Amino acid sequence: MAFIEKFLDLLPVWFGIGFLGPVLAEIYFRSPLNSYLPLPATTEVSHVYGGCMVFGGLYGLVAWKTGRWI
Amino acid sequence: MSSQDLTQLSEAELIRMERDIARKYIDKLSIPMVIWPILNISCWVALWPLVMTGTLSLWVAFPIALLNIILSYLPSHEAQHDIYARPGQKLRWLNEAIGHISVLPLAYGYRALRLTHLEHHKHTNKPGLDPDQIFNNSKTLLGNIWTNIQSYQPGSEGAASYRSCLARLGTPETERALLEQVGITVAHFGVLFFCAYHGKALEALLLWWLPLKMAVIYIRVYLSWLPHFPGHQVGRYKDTRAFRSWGGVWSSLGMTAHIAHHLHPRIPLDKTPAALRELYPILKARKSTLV
Repeated sequence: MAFIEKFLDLLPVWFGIGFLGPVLAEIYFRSPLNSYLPLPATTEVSHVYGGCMVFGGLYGLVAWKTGRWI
Repeated sequence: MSSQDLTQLSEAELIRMERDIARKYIDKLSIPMVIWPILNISCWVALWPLVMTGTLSLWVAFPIALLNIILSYLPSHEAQHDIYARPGQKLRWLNEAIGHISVLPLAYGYRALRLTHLEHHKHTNKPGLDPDQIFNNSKTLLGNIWTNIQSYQPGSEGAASYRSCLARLGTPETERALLEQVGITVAHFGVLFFCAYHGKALEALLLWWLPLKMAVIYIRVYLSWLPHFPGHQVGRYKDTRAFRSWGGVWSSLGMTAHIAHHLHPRIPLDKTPAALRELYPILKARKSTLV
């Protein structure tokens, strides 16, 4: 139970990594955004996903610390 | 009937008239209210395979999902008041099944909603006791929408309102409700993460996460803020009001007649407008707010 409580307490962080990050990556790949902001040819898809997940996780961490997303 | 002047009647006569009207609508199974949750949940569940297989555009599915999630609360609300069937009655299983299943798109547990909602009825508009009061004291529509957006902040009072109410009650039933809510929250996020892992984050975003946030705002505006406006009056005939909605009674999900529900919570939703029409002269004599 203590583990679940801790897990839920940190939900903004998991949300940022597990959902917000992939959403941002998919918005980039599945919208015209990637033609307006093309990445270098050497960039791999996984790098974009990874970057977005790191961003999501950090944003979630800030939301968890401050109690605010916006 | 609605133009009758009943101000000369005694308290006992008004109570008797009110009860006679309510009795006509109570304890009759409303078939539309049984069909509603079955169709609604079936439609929302069907959107997932239709979108995932590319049969239906995500942009078409998004507003349908929004409508489904908006419509998911009220059948459970009927069950919270035992309107389908009371404990011990033959159709009790239907009451509990609708209560639990219809709110799944809202990612909320039936038990937690029932316990907190009954507290709302018991202590309508009383700060610290009514778990909805925190969402009801805005002066303007935009103010109310902003209050609801604020409640999505992890550390906000709004986010903790129902949890605090359950903690205050502190019964074995509330413990069970909290556990059930934890399970539903974990499952909800599990689905979102699972979809994201399989490259379907946008589908999960537009079929569940975003419509859920928007639906909760719509529900709180129409089911909570507008019927209890200005949100600080207390008393049986004062804490809820009748009002007009932009597209008639059903654009408010029947909430223009919410005062009839607060007076007699076991009247089925689809019968509250008719009950309100009959109750009108009594409520006028009681000096309730009737727009």
